[in-house]
Amino acid sequence: MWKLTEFYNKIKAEVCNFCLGLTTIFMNGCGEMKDSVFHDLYEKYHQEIYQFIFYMTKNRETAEDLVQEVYIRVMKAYERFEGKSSEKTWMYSIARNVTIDHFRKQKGWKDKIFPNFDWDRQLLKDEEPIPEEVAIKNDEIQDIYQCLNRCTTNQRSVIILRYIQGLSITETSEVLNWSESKVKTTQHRALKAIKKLMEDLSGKEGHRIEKIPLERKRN
Amino acid sequence: MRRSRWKESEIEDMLRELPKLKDDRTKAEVFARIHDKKKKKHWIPLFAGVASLFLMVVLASSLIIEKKGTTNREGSGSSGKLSLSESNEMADLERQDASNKENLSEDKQENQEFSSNQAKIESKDKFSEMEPRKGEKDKTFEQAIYQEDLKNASIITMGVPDDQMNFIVPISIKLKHYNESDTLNQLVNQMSDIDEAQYGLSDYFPLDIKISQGNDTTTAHIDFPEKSQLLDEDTLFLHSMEETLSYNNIEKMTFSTEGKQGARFAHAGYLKEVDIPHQKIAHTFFTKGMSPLQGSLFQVIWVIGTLRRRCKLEKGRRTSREFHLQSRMT
Repeated sequence: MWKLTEFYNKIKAEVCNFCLGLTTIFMNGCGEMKDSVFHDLYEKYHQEIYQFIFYMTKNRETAEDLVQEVYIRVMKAYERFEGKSSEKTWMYSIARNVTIDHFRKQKGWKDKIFPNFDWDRQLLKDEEPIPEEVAIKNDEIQDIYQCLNRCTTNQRSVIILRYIQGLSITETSEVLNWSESKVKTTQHRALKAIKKLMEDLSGKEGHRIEKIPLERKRN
Repeated sequence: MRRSRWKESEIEDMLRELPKLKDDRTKAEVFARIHDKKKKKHWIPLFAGVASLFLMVVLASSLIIEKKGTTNREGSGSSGKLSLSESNEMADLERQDASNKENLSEDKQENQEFSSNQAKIESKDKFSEMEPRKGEKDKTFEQAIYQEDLKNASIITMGVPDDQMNFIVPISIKLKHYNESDTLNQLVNQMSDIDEAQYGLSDYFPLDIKISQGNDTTTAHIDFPEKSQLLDEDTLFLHSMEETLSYNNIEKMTFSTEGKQGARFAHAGYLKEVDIPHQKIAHTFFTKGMSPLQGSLFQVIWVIGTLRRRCKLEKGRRTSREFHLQSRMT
């Protein structure tokens, strides 16, 4: 028993030393390279990626955290990047995956067990505040910003990539790993959905606006 | 209704008009936060890994030890069964337990034939059994002493309370050199030598008393020191001494305190002498069992001796008077 323990301790020490050595070599060797990769990617894509994630999540802090996560994933997988797609679309696809992972984490256990059951969360959920940049724009822009939130994740991804980020159909299809026709279809449906939402919203607003003049007339 | 219909192109234009948002943080700030996050992420799995490795080592070692223990137990159990048949020397505790179980069931069957009276627990004959506690190496322990074993030796018996102080268990010790006229001195010597713990009994002896011969050979004189603890715990003491002396042909015991005649017991009161009752013919069988509350406990199975009982016993492996379970060669 004692011999076995001694042998085990020796093996453990050897393995630990080996692993430590490997890690040190890897960290020293890769550290500088990874730093330069980060600086390069930051200069090229940081604001774009940040904007994409922000429009997806509608929250500044979340977007900041997720951008960092994107960099971590990019740096981990940078050596494996084959160059089949452009660096830009690769970054976007990672950003989208990170965002989707974030949404999944946000989903509580109740949603996972009863995905179709409405826990009245829609009614209770607080709307994210409109960012300052949007708030200074006209009502229509503010409305469209709100409507964007009510689309499905796929529709929102396409709309953001196509109209806010300004990517082409091909680039969008690369980011989403879809066919171009699927991108087109989703884009069309998304626009239709936004249009309907805008009409609903304007209908409500119109109703609200109509009430105000009535009150004024009484006065 | 205002703006009842929207054109898709208008929607597209509005989407394009959505403002450009910028991250206000500097590059260094982002870089520093990434490093912090990486460090955090790096250490948690490492810690979890180390913890799981530690747990595995602890569990594996405990399993190995347990397995080893079980193997030993199994081994000793099987050897115990073999020795049950005729062997008189059963020193190992496990083997002893096995034999006790067998003896227990045997006696239970016999009890059905004879009348038993549990109320007379105090009146025990010398047919008793004790478990030795030492390992196999100690060959001096014997399961029983038969008359043929006593050709060149003699026995001395003393009553030792069990660890629950419920029963007085007679222990017979085989002596090589024994002078019957010197019984009390031998008794005192054995009292100081006996290791009660190995029989699973309470550490009772030696006692802070002086035992000497009284007026005749059948009288023992016991002298207590002043404020002896035995005077307070007199019930146990008197039972133990009655048990002990009755086996050694003593019929009466006299008491003195610091040389003055008589002793004042806490419960029995002031006593000068006590007659030792004659042994009733009863067969008492002591086995070490398990108490659900307190762990080990002596179980006493006994029967009032009758002629039929005695005959049956003599036919069997155990005899009556000559049968002294548990003894020690000294």
